[in-house]
Amino acid sequence: MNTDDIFVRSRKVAAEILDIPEESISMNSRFIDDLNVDSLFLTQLAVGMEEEFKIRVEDEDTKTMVTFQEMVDYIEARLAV
Amino acid sequence: MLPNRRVVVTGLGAVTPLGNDVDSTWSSACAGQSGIDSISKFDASDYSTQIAGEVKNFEPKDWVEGREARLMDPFIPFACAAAGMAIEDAGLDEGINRERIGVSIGSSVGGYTFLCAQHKALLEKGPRLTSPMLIPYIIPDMASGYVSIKHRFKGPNHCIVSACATAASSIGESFLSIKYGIAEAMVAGGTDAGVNPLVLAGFAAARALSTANDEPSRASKPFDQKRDGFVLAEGAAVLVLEELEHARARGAKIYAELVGYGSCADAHHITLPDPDGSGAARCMEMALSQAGLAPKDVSYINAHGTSTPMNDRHETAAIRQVFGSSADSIPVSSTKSMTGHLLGAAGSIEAIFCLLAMRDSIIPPTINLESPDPYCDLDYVPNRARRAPVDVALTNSFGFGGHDVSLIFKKYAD
Repeated sequence: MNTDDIFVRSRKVAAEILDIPEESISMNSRFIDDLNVDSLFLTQLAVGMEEEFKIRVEDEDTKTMVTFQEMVDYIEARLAV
Repeated sequence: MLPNRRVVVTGLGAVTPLGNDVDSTWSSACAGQSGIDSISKFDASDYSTQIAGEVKNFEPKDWVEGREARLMDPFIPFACAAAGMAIEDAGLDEGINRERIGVSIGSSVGGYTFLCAQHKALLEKGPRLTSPMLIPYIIPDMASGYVSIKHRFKGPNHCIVSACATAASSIGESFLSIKYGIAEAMVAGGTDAGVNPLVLAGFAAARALSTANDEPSRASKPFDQKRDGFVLAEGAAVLVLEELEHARARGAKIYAELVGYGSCADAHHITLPDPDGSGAARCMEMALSQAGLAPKDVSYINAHGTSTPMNDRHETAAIRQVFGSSADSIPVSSTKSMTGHLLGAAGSIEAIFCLLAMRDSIIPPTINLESPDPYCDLDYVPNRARRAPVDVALTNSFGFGGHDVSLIFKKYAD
């Protein structure tokens, strides 16, 4: 799975959880400033990604994620393990 | 003795099986329509009871943010809708001190729908995939919490739980909060989204529900000889209670004055009412005494009237005990015959019916009353609404656990 595939799948999951159009999420989208994601919804996104990609997302790691790109990179790294 | 501060009602809001606002709910009730039908939210074919009073065509996104609406248990959006309408009706928005306005919207069961979905996910997928929203979206107090956040009301905030007396307790305790100067206004009432497989199974197991599945609209028949249990329903109803001078200074419209609140316990059994009706009677007496009214002053009673064999008989006995010879001349109706039993919202929708009966001089009927139980021998306003002036209205609410609550509203006069 390449980065684009991960972006498309993770964006679909995030759009559903956040109830926003997929097109409104880009790699550069910032969770707090652009997507209005609080800590609870960031955790909900992590749960969604764990389920979608069958990976483990650590709480400490989500705390430092600022942009959607960082989440996609994280998933890619996890899938590579 | 309570402090002299007077408490009036300045706003109403509701989402019920009869309509998604106060006007449609009221006009359906006055027309004697039933909101009960076969359950559509889930397949109830395995259940002994397959009917309920569901809220229809309700869009949670109209009242809460979309991402929250997707996950949140419906009891919270129901409350947001009813509270939003009540606050708008009261005009309680500009020029107010939000630190002096509180919220007390109770829920008897809380978020069972989301709870059940998350429990299923826990069993099937394990604890890591449990939603972080599980706790905030199921705890019964979140209706009050969410409404306060949405409207930035920073006064007292709580969720009083007394089963089917929940909303009446919330209104009563809010009345005291205003009386004692803890708040100038309270957004008070109840909400429940109990039309859910687990809640239905639980009440059915307790043999509390009607099984008249073939005739949904005729299933809730309070005081009738053939009554066989209550009909589960859902929704929310909220009142804005306000200190009189605060309301007058704003030029607010005043529906009526809340003049009496009785609250006590049967101390008898977890689900059954005290057979001699003494708890219910004591509760009505407390409310009358607090209001400084005599039994003959009451012009309408909205009964708890669940349509269970026990409640209706014992409530009738209690009314006779309190009202004596006046009992025969006071119209008593059970609007649960039309709405079904809204559990934690029953007390507040029935308070609203009292207030509108007073406003419009129309007493809503007890429908499906064809062959009265010989032990239920009051004037239950059978089957058709009645035009009659209402100056003082009393409403009863009782709950599992033996909770008894009575509220008395009086036409406002200087």
